[in-house]
Amino acid sequence: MKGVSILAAVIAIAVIIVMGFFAAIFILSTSYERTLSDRVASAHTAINLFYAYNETLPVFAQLLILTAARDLGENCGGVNCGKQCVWNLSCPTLEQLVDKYNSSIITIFDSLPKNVGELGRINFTPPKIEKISLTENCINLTLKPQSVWMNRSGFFLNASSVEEMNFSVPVRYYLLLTIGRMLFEKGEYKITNSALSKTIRFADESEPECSSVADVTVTIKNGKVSMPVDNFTYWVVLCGINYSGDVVHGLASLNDFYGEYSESSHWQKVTCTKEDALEDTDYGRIDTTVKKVMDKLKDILTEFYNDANPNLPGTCEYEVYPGYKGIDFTITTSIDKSYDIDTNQPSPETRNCSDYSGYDWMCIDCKKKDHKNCVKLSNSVHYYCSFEKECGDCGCGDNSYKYLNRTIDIYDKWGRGYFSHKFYHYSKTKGCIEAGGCDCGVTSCGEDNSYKCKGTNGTDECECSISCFCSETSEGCKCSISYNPATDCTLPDCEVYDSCTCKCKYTKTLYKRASSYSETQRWECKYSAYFVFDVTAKLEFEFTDNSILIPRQGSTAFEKLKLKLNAETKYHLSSSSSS
Amino acid sequence: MRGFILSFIALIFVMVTCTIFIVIFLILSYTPAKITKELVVNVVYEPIFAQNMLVSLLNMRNETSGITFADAVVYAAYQNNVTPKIFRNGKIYRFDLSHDAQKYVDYVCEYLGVKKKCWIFIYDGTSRSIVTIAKNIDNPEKEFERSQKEGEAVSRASLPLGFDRWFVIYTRE
Repeated sequence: MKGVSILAAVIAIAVIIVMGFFAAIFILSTSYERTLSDRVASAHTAINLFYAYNETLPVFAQLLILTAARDLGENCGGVNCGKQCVWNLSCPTLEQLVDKYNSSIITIFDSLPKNVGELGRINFTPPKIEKISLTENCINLTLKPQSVWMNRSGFFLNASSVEEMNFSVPVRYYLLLTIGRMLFEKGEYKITNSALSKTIRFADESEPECSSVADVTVTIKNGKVSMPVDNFTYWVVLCGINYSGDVVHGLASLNDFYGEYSESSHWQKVTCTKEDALEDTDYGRIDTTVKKVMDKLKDILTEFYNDANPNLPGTCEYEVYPGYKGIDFTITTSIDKSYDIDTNQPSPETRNCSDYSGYDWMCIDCKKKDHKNCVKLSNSVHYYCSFEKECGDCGCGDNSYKYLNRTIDIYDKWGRGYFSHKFYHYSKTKGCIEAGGCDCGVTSCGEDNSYKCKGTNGTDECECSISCFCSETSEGCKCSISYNPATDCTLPDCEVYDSCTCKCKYTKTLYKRASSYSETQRWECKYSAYFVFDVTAKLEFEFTDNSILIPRQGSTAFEKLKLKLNAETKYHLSSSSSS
Repeated sequence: MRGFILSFIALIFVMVTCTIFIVIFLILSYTPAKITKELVVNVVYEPIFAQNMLVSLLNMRNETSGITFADAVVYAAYQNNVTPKIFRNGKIYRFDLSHDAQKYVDYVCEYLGVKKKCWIFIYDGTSRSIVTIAKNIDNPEKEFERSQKEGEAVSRASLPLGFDRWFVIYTRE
């Protein structure tokens, strides 16, 4: 019995072992299948992903190249720093800007996921940039061969694209940078898309301030822009442009720094200010001068870089479609200007008391008293007289009464570069006026016959009875005679002698003092000065590549590639020099 | 004595049996599993169905503009719009991602009368939002979520688009 029990136990153990064995086989087999399927699926996924990457990478790379170009074109960190930062020679070099562009692209590519697939078990080599090269028309990107690999419990997958991937994106980022840099920095830049030979000369070479660049020319020949002058825009604004004989003058051509303004009135006070005199100068031409120069520069740049077909041998293919316009240039000018008296110039005029002698008679009253006052200081003269006086009387035949209230006030002052004149004249006069005339009466006629005058008819002496009519004339009391030779004379055709005149007498005063008066006033002023002008020209160059549209993230809108450059040039202009 | 002999014989039997099975087990352990049709089709092929869809869909090309689906899907992610605009050869083309993807789904996911549930969408990793491009079932988000919870085999494929967005395809029997 005991043996049977042991046998049963052994058989039970054996059965359990066998069942366990089959269970283990089943489990291991299933697990193996699963592991195998998982490995195959993962490998398949990796390879699919690899090809999916290959499909999307070109357009992804193109998009990144374009957007990086746009972002850096508009805000290159030094090329366009906004209002606070304008171009100067400490701004990044062209090479530094290109490096910045390169690093932007590299950063974007580095941000791509490196581990993809289920639980990130597939190691993907993100696109590594082998090389970025820029030409005027294109940005060329070379990526290292991309690869995918996985290693799972001895199941190893490694796939690689073997060859480098090259993308050539037609965008004129580098050309715009080169043109922009060319405007501000001395140097030579190779522009391959222009095979033209052109020469720009500076104008206004006869102006002293332009003598240093009188012989300087900016040439574009054999695709190379040669600009042996620092800060092209500074000299262009100052000296203007001479292109193909078409001359546009710069600020140096402004030569009227002397302004004069004068005014006079009988009705009201007048003032002559420094600002009024400024209007007589070239100050008002500053804005239009700069704008004309910039317009010309814009036209020249447009002519240089708007090739109808930018594809030259050796350059990457550039899409030229109907309506292609090349590069647009806009230049916005903003002028800050101020003025002041040019203290390097002598005073336009000076005065001494003797210069006002023409007014002396006006300062003498009717009693011959001279009221003139004249004070001469180092930079001013004050000529002044003011008096009120009356003389004489008014009566019949007497109009000698004079009343005069007069003020002459002249204040002239001057300094280095300017002269100011202020003049005031006031006169109030009164005199005699006629008031009814004198009362005249006949006192005698001829020698002894008061009312009969002797005359002749040519042969015999005759006598006429005459009438005498007294009246007041401008010469006093006058008497005019009248008679009829036929009826009033002893002989016909009698004419009285010239001596046969009436005598009158004034019987009472007919003149009296004026009850009204006349007033005269006059104001004068004058301001003349030599000026200096301080000009700050703020220029914003905007270059737009019309040949390509760049999508904006998060929107279906497109934008053109733009490069904005700000420049600020300062000028001190005067009749003697500009700097 | 008899019990001992029986026990000894039983022990020998068990040891021999175990040795034989261990040997068979070891032989099986180092022998590749048999690649059956069932293994290939149901276990290997199904999970990569979505991968194949992904690659073939990306290769679709518009004959007029020359724009591939891959171009359009990158632009769609960049422009955050399933009808992206693409500038090509001096013209701006509007590419309807949903239209083309839906035609593709209607054909591939019902090929030879075997209907698969398919769902194509763009996933925004930043906002965790989904923009469906094409589907052949209602409420695909709930449907696939339920499938995953219940352990059903779901075939997935995703492609990073570089702007924290993913192009994703889900399929299920």
